[in-house]
Amino acid sequence: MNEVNIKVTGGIKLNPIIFVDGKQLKVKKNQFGSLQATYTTDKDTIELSICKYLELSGKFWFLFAILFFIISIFGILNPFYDRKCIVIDSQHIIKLKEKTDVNIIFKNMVDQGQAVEIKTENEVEEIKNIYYVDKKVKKRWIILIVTQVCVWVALIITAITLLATK
Amino acid sequence: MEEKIVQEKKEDKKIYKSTLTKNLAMMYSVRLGKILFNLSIVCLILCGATLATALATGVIFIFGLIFIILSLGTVFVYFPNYFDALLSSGDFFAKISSFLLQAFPYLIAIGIIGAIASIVFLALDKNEKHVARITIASIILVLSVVIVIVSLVQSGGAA
Repeated sequence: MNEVNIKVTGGIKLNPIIFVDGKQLKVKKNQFGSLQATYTTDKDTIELSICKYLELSGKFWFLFAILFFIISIFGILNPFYDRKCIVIDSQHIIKLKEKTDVNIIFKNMVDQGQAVEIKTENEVEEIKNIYYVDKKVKKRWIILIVTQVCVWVALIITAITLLATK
Repeated sequence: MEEKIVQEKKEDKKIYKSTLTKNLAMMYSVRLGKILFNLSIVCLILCGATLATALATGVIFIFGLIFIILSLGTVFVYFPNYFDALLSSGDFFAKISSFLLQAFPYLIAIGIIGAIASIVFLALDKNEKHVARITIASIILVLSVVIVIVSLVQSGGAA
């Protein structure tokens, strides 16, 4: 059995989702604020993937967005959606020893920039490792903002009309 | 070989979809929790405003009268409509106070429900711990319950 100790430094606010061999890794915050997890496997290598989901990437994104917009009194109490729409596409293959320490360090979030740095004593093969703007989600974000502005304009016009008729 | 690759891709897509659904559900629950937390704060502020406007009506009137006494009535020489202005400002606050008093039970109910729901939804988040929000929501909940108990005792005493 090979044991892998995975530690994530920085980028915790990005809410990264870590997959090892296609399974989501359950990570826990340690006393220093870093994420940590231990994975055991019989294999000699593991495939480490990191990704980030955006709220507007779901199938029913518009339905939920409008629902939250209404619940939050027309967006007044609604937290902002991620404006940058940057996601992570990172995949590495790591060769294992009996005990392997893997430290994942997140880089600054820049479009087309390097996403993470993998620090380990073992051999690492990088397949992809990039931050990129999810254009589909960005488009959805713009649609949502336009819709919200339209609703607000309609509300203001209705309010003015009602006040004028009184 | 090709079949194997296609099958692997299909499996990857399946895993991606299932994790996406789980994570999205968590994100939505956190967003709902944050909205309800904000709502409970607004409700508590409005409840406080009810009390403040009720107090303000009395306080303005008392300070206005004290000012008349301290100025030995000379205020009427400089401001002939002083008393009318004092009464009208008192009326204004009384109107707001009566409106807020009517809405008070609904506000407190929404506040309590919002605080409880926000604690539940925020506690569901496995990626991030919302310690500050959950603590504040708990304080709001306790304050709201205390306000309800006090108002119930007062109304019981009045009856």
